[in-house]
Amino acid sequence: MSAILRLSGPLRDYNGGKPELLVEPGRTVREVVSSLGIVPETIAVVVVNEEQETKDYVIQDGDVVLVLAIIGGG
Amino acid sequence: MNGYGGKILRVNLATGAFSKETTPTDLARDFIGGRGFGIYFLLKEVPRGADPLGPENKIFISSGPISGMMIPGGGKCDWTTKSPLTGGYASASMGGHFTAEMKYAGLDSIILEGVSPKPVYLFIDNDKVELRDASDLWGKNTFAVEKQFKEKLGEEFQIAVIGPGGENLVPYASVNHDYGRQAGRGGVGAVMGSKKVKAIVIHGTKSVPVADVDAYRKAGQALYKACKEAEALKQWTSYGTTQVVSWCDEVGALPTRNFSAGSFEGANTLSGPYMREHIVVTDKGCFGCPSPCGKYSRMKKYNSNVEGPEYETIGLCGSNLGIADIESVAQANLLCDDLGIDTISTGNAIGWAMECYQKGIFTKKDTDGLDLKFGNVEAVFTLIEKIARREGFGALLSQGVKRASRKVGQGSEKFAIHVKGMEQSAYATHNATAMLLAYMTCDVGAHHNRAWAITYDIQVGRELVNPEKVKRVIWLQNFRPMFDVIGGCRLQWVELSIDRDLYVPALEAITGIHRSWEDLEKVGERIWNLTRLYWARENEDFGRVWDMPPARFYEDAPKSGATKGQITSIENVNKLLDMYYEQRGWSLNGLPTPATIDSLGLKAVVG
Repeated sequence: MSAILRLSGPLRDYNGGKPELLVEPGRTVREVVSSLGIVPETIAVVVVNEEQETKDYVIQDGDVVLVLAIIGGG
Repeated sequence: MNGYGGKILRVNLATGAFSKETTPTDLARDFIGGRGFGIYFLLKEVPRGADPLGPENKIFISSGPISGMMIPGGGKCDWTTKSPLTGGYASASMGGHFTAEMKYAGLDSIILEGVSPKPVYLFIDNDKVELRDASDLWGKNTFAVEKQFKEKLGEEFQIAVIGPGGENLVPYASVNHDYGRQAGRGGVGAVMGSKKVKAIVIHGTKSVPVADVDAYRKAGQALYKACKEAEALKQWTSYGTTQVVSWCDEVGALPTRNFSAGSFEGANTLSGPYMREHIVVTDKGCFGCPSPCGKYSRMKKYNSNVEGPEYETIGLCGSNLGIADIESVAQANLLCDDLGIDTISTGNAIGWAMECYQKGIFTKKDTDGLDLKFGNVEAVFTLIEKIARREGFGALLSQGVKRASRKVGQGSEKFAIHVKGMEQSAYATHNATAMLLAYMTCDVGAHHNRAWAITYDIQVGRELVNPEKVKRVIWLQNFRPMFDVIGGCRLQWVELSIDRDLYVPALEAITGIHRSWEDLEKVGERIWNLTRLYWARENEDFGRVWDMPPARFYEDAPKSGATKGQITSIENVNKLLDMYYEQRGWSLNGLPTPATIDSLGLKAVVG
């Protein structure tokens, strides 16, 4: 049982430069990114299986979760 | 000269004379283009103390080496002038397709000088340059004029036009282009109006010389490939800048009721996904853009359409005015664009008036009978029109919040959210010290685009004040505006996170000159110091006091939302400035020292 967490751009620095990693289901996106050392409030957008979700979404088995940070701004 | 149109067009509006000068190679070497050219010309050609709306002021429109090239984001040009809003440096970046036509007409800069005795428009078609009578266009709104030109001249012509706001010299009047792109901030539109120039229409078909065609193609393709493969592309293209609305609300950065808070109870119906679902019809991009952020919207309630609203307009004409209806915000956007006034300053001015009304400083007797409660959409629409026409109560608001609050007094100065006279763009900075410093020290006034540091605040601790934060702001100020120098859009780097080093071989292939980002940042630092010296030249009392933020951000903590009870102390405000000046090599009063001027090689420019 696992899901894929994809990290955009600069967030990859928190995963050794790699764009994605396998994560255990059952935790929220907020908890998972925190465990990587990412401050959750820097995440602007969470997309789960092509649908926008909140950081409190509980990751399910087989999910593909994309998190986008806002680093540069408008 | 590789990468350049090769000529600077000078238009004397008083005499109707034109001249073309070869773009100096040393100017291109030292200042590259865009706002680099702009500040150089401003310092050299506009005399000290010039009236921003008088004949001595000039407008400098400049493209850069990647403008009009097959490089993502090559659709930007810079409009520099002395600002009628602030009395200092104004530099507005305009997207769309205008800059590409400049380049293809062989022009790196267009300089408008003097004042025309009657309304005119500037017609440019390659080497054909004419000033034509615009008496029949004077008084018309921007969209009607652009449409008229497009129908008459064809879609190939690009149009930059002012509306009644510019004609009436509203100091935050904008220049409109491509039905929704603007040279928006600092009052460039008013300067154009003072010169009696209604529009510039331009078309070109010349080729641009490049140093290495094969390397140019290869570098351009690498940039497009990076954009197309970016993880964030789909999200960004779907929502554009509106994707940050919910995030700003979450972190307390969404300006709410005249910046009295940073979270808004109606943020959900202003969010990017909500807007996309309810009003967006299609996407719209600038020249050569692989990630179009413009959103074309249909407002059924008003039977109208607009390009927008962008995040900034949602913040200032939505939450900042207590409005949660996205269609109404889009309609306010339409009115501002059509009348030719900046949505950011307009939203601020009305927000200030609403707070004054709430506090009893204004009554209906002052407001032409308008009930200026936050959230009153119809009052907002009426005021936008009154501001652009400088009518009644709108005449007061048209002056900008700094001047208006000084005139009104009664403590209203505290609700005037500006730095250096420019109204603050859409990030509330009660507890975000790097972003606060970015606004305090921005070279045009309280604008976000030079250094957007609020995520950095959240990453490292938003109330933290230390040299590393200051260093980050300075790095951003030196680096990000370089996109406005090379004639490009920063949003591919910002939003798609593409590697900025991909621009280096592209720039080299086009110009034949290798410049690393470290080299470019050095140019950015020189430009930053020149803009500072310009402010000091034009304002005798210029210094630290001009960098102070609105009192709201160190005296008046939000009573609700994510930043409830949070504030930056005045001690930390001053500490930020102390560290900033020291790292910049400026005096305690915030002026570049002779040693700094010398070390940056700027003596020859500033004398």
